[in-house]
Amino acid sequence: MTRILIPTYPQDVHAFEVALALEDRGHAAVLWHGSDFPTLASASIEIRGESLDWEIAGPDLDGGRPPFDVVWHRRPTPPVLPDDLHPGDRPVAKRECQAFLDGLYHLAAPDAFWVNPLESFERAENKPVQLREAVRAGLTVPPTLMSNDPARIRRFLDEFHGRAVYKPFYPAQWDADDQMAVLLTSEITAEDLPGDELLRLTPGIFQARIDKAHELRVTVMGHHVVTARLSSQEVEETRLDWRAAGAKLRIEPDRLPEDVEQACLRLMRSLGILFGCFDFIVTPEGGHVFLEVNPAGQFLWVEESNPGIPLLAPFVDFLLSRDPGFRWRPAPDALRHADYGPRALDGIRALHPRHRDPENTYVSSDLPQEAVR
Amino acid sequence: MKKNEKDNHKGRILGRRLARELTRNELELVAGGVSTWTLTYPPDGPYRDKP
Repeated sequence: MTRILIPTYPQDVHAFEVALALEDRGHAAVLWHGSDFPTLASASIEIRGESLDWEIAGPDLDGGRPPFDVVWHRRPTPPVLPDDLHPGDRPVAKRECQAFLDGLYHLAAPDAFWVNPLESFERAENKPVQLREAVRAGLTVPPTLMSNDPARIRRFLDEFHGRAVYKPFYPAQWDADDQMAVLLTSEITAEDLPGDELLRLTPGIFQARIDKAHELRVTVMGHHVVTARLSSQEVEETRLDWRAAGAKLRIEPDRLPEDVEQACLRLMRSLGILFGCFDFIVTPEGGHVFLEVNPAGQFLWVEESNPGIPLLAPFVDFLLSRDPGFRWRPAPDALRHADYGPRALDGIRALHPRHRDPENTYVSSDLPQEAVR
Repeated sequence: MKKNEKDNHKGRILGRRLARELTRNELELVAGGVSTWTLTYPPDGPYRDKP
């Protein structure tokens, strides 16, 4: 029996579904919701001489003691403090909680198979680092400016006039009553820019717009590469950013050219990751242009949209293999998302009230400034 | 969703000016019932505080 620790958040369908599948295969999967800490969950590290002991405990958390063979570092969430904590104590308590949890992650299972390795976490998700390392790995990336310098931004947009896009470093959303605003990849010209004083307050990613024949979502686990073709140019809403209407996409199995696949593996080695979800544009001429790699990307939606593209089964086998060079061999009785997805949703609905949601740092208020203050 | 073309975001940062506006009903249509994909719980990117 393999013991797998999965730090994540309470509504994470991916984590819940993979845990169910692992348990059905006779293994022990422990979901650790960082947002339950410190109000609902407790944790301890005890050092006595050479001996190290640690434990996590909380709702629906059985078996929160070492050893663990695998850590799927899925989406570790920061601690959530109660609203009624004294405002003057909040920064101190938050800092102490985070320092303690960071230490726990480092000590929890140093010899386990980590997906992805803890030390890769900061660097691998950093967009400037990704783009630079992608070029070094042999991938093509769009001409890109990342800046808050108004003069340089205006020069860049002039150079690519009418053929430039803007994207943020992280997802962003503004909510107000029944209305929301979601920041995706957007066409941009100099006319869209605010005044220089405002423009310099938020650095952004400015890229030349690349013509698309279609796009690829490439999920890599070890050396197993699953390539899905997203027909993003068939629907108006998805031409610029397929996330604008992801459920409308036609998704088909595809293959990466060997040289692009090898470059992806080189990039993963450079970033120190064993799992990643890549986004590529395929140009009308057949070129592959790298956009980004998501070390904690979603992947089951691809199998949900096209059951002919297995992802649950290879991912579970990847975790159990503990092999950085993993390659999947399909089996007739392979796990299927269609069997586990509904069970995962039912389980989350049942358990969710007993947990605490993370603070969604990507969502901010869109109410008038006076109301937010 | 269309790019926000209304000039009602004076004083807002570039990202907010370019964000696509939609109602919650429209958001559900975007997700289209696919349970493992959502626009708002970011499809990619971890939950974590940023400095």
